[in-house]
Amino acid sequence: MSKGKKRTLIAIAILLLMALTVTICYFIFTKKAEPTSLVYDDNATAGIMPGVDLDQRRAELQTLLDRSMIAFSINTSPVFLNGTSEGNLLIENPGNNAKLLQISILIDDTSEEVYASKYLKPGTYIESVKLDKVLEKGTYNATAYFSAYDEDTGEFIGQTGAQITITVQN
Amino acid sequence: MKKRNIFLQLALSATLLFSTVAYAAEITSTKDIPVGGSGQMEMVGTIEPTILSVTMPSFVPFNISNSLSTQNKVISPRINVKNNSNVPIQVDVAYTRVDLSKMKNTTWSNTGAVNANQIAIGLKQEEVENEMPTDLAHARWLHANEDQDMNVLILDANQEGAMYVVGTLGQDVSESATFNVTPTFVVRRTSTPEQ
Repeated sequence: MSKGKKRTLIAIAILLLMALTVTICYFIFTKKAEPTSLVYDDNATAGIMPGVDLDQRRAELQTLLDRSMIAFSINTSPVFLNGTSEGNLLIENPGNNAKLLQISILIDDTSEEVYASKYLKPGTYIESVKLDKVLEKGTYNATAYFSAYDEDTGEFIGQTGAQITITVQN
Repeated sequence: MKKRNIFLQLALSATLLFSTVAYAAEITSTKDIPVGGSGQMEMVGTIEPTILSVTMPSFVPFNISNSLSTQNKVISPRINVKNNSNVPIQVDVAYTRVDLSKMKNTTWSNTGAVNANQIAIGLKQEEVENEMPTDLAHARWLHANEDQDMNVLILDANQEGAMYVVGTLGQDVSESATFNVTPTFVVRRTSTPEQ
């Protein structure tokens, strides 16, 4: 092989090597640059797909429900001597609740709020209260709503109610 | 000897005298009524308030999907209610707030019967312990955004009970969106416990 032909072959080999290097680099770098702006699908729902694992899904729901369980106590028939006196409401947030409770009482017929407590810590109770609105002598059907809040974050968890009968004697 | 006898008699008399006094004092404290006489006895009664004491959930999460092969299309946790009171209670749904705003072309059914674009959600008392209902028989259906007063559970004193969310949906209801159903449970004292 002549010296000129040898040089030409070496030059071609170098050029081919360079072309191959450029091609490889192009594919590597362009593929890495693509996912810089991820777009998430609005239609996607967080969690396990329904039907995939029924027992696991049910267990997750049970955990959520168990966290929302609240215990409460209240006198079903509090009596007030008159519209401005204290009555024996006897509301309790038991110690095992691990939630803050706030109680508001609404008269069933008018939906008027006649009492609203502040937050009760677990393991506390209120024996007697004065109503926020003066009620005339009589008997009133009312509903006491217990709203539960997370003890640490103050986040609202849920609400439940108890029907009571308020008696104002004079 | 005579002096000694007199001393013994005096000592005996004194003993008897104190015994009598002590006995008399005890009788006086219980207001003994003499035979043939009359007396008054005061009886003081205190009315103990009836305390309603209940443990129940304040939030009920559930999933609904047409992919379930059963008639009931809801995956529900066990809704446990415990009556800690000494009186029977009933648990009613007083009101249900329903928000279907994220569901396009979907409406609510108050009866449990649904067309292609409807959803119906209700509550059903537990029939087999820890088993989610597969059918919709005896379900109590929640009415959307209106007062209802629907009884869902009756518990005797210190009794525990459970129920589940049940429901169904039409074939054209979108399963990618979410909706909110918020029933308000109200506990009442009742006089007729149901077994």
